Amino acid sequence: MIDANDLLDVESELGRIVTELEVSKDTGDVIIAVCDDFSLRKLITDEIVGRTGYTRYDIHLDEKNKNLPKILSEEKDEILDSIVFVHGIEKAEPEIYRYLNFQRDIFYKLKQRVVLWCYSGFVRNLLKYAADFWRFKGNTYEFDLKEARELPVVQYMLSKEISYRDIDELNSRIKIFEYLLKEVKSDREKADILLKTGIFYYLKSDLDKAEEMCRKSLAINEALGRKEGVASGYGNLGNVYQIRGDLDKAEELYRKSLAIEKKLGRREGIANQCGNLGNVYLIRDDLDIAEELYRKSLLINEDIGRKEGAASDYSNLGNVYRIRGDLAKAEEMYRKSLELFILIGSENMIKKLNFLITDLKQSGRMTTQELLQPVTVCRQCDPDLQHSRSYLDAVSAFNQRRLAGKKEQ
Amino acid sequence: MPTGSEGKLVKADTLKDMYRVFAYEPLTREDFGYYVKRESPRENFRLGLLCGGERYLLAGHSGCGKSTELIRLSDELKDDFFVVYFSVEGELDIDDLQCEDVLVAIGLKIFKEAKRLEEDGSIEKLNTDIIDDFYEFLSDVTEIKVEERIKEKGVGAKLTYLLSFSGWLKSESRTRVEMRRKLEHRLSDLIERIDNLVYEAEIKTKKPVLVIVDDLEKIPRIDAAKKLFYEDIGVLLQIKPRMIYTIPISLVLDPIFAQIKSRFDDDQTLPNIKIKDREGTSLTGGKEFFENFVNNRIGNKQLIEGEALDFAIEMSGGVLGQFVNIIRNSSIYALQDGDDCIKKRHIELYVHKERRSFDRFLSYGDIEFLKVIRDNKDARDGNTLLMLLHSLSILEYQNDNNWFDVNPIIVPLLEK
Repeated sequence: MIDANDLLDVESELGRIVTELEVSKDTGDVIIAVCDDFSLRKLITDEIVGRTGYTRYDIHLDEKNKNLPKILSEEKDEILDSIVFVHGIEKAEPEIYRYLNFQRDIFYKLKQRVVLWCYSGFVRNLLKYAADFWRFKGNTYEFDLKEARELPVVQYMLSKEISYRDIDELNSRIKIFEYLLKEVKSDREKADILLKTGIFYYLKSDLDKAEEMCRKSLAINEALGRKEGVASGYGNLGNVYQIRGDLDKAEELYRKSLAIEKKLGRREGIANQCGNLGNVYLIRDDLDIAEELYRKSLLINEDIGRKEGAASDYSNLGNVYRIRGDLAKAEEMYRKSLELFILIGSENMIKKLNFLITDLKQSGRMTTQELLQPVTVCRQCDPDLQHSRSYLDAVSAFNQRRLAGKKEQ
Repeated sequence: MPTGSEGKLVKADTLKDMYRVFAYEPLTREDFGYYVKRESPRENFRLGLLCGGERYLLAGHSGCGKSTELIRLSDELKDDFFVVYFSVEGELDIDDLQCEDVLVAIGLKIFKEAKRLEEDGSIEKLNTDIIDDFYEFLSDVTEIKVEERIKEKGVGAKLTYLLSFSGWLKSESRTRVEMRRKLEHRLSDLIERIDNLVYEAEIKTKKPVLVIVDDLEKIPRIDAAKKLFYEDIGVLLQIKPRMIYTIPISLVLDPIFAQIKSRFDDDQTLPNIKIKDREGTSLTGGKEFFENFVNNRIGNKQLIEGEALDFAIEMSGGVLGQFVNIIRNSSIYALQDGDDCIKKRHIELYVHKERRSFDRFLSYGDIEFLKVIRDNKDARDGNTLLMLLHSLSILEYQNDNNWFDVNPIIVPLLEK
C-alpha cells in the first residue's frame, strides 16, 4: 500500500528524473532508478514518458540476453530519440556487472538516455562489482515504499500468506529453495518445493519461471497421485495466467482445481478457487457471476471460521457493489471487511480498507475498467517484471496518485 | 537424576539420598536403569513411525510417566530418525503459551540440535543461507536486533542470537506479545523457515526429522489447552517433520476430540498404573510395579517401612508422579523427626498437606460431582469433568473399559 508521504517522495524524485532526462537530451545519460515495487515502476515509467513527451524503448534483459551495452549498440538506430528503459536486470546477474563495468564506453559513444530499473540490492552490488561504471553513471533515484510487502486482498493463492521485505528477500528465499531442490531426494518433497519456488517467482513477476516451476510440481504430483498437490498446482498456474491476462485459460485451471478440491472435500480450497473464479468474472465485468462466486467463498470461509478469507470476500463484494453503483452496500461490505481485518489485527489491510472507504466516499462509483485500469495498462506491456501486484494494489496505487494529484491542484 | 561419577546408577542408602533419587523428573538415557517395564503405547508409536506414520498424540495424566516413555522412544529411534525432543515447560512459559511460541520453539530446537551435531563433527556444515534467513525472520518478527543483545560481532553473533532466543521467548512477555502480533499474518512464512531447517537437518543427517513436543499437557489453564489443540492444531500440523505431541487427558475425553484425532495417525493414552480394579479389589500387578520402582532406586531396603510403602502406593492412585512426590516429600518429614526410615505417619503428614490444597480449590459443586464419580466410577462429558481431570482430582483407568475414580488423597474430603 502506498501512503501519502511515500507519494510526496515519489513525486520529488519523479520531478528530478524528468529534468535530468531533458537536460541530457544530446549528451546521453545512464540513470539508475531503484524501485522494488514493480507496479510502481510501471506507473513511473508511464509518467516519465507522459511528462517528457519522448517515445520510449523498452529492453528486457533475461538469461539469454544479459549484455546490455552490446544490445544497446546493436539497436542504436531504432532508439535514437527515445528514452530507453531497461527491465529485468535481476535476470542478468551476475554477468551484468562485468558488462557494465568493462563496456561502459559504449554508453559514451551512443549518447543515449537510459533508465536502468533495478532493485535496491542491485545498487549495492553495482558499487561492489562495477565501481567504474558506478562513477560513470548519472544520478540514482530511489522510489522507495517503506511498507513491507503484504499479500493482495483479492488474490487467492498460497502466496497471499507470504510476506516479504523486498526483492532481495525474495531472491534469497528462492536461492534456498533451489539449494533444497538439488539436495532433497523424495519426489513428494521436490513437488512441494517446486510449487513454493513457483509462487516466489510469481511474486517476483517472473511469470515464465513461475509457470515452469508450477508445471514441474504439477507433473510430479500427478505422477504420485497427490490430488491436493495437483489442485494447488492448477490454482497457482491459474494465477499466472490471470496476471498474464489470459482469463479463459485461468478459468479453465481454476475450475480444474475446484473440481479436485470438491472431490477431496477441502473446503478451504473450494473457497479459494471460488474467490479466484470470482476475480476472473469481475475482470470480465460479469458482476452477477462474480458476486455469486464471492458469496460462495464467503459462506464457506465464515462456516470454517477463516476470518482472513471472509474479510477478502467482503472486500471483493464491496468492489462488485461499487462498480454497480450501490455505494451504500459497497461501503457496508468494505466495513465488514475492515471489521474482520481489525479483529485479525492485520495493519496493512486495515490501512488498505480505510483507504478504500475514504476513496469510495470521495470518488463514488467506478466502472470495472476504471477499477482495473493500472492493471490493464500493465498488461499491454511485455510480461516482464511489471505485473507482480494484484489489481487492487494497483488500483490503490493509481487512486492514491489521483488523490495526491487532487491535493496539489 | 543423580548418577555416579562413572555414570553408574546411584541407589539411595540414606533418607537424603532418597530425596534426591525420587526426583519428579523423567528418566534420561543415563538413568534408564531405574526403569520398570510397564504397559505403554511406546511400541505402537515406534512401529508406526518406522512404517511411515507422521503424526501422533500421547495423552495421559500429568505425572503418569509420558516423558520417560517419550525419552525412551527417542533413544530407540535414534538410529532411524534425527530425533528432536523438547519439553515446552523447559523452553517456553507454560503459563502463557500459544501456538506461535510452540512453532518458534520447534524451529529453534531443530536448529540447536543440528548445530550441536555440526559442532561435534557428526554432520557437514549447515547451509548458512538457511540459518541467516531464519535469523533475519526472527529478528524481523520480534524487532530484536542482534546488536542490541549480543556483544559478539560477525557470523558468530547471529548464531549466539539464535541460541539465546528461546531464553528471551521464555522470560520476556513483551517479546512474546510482539512476536505473536507479527506472526499472526506470517504463519506460513514461519512454517516455511521451520521446514527449511527440517529439510537441511534431513539432508545433513540423512535421516527424517522426528520432533517430540512434551509437557503440553501441563498447560495449567484448560481454556489455553483447548485453544491450542482445538483451534490451532491445524497450524501445528502444517510443519513438515514427523511429530508427537502430548495432550492433556481431559481434552481426550472432550467430544470435540473426535474431530482432532482424525488428523493424527494414532492417538494413545499412557494409562495410570492400576492398583485396584473398578470394584476396589487390590491388583497385585500394580503393587508389584511400585515395589520394583522403589527397589530399583534404593540400596538400603530399610529406608521405607512396608506399611508406609503400601500406604504410599494406595495414595498414589497409580499416578507415578504422585507416588514419587509422596516418597520424596515424606522423606523430609522422616528426616525432621530424626528417623532413619519413612514410616506410615510421614506419608500421612504429606498426604494431609496435599489434601488441604485440594480442599481450598474444590467447590461444593465439585465435591458433589466427585461423590457421583466415587459411587458410579463413571462420568460423561462436561466441563466439570474436564476441569477435575485436569487438576488430577479425578483419575482415569483403563481395563476393558475406561473408568474413573476420585484421587485417593481427596476421598476423605467427600465425607466432611
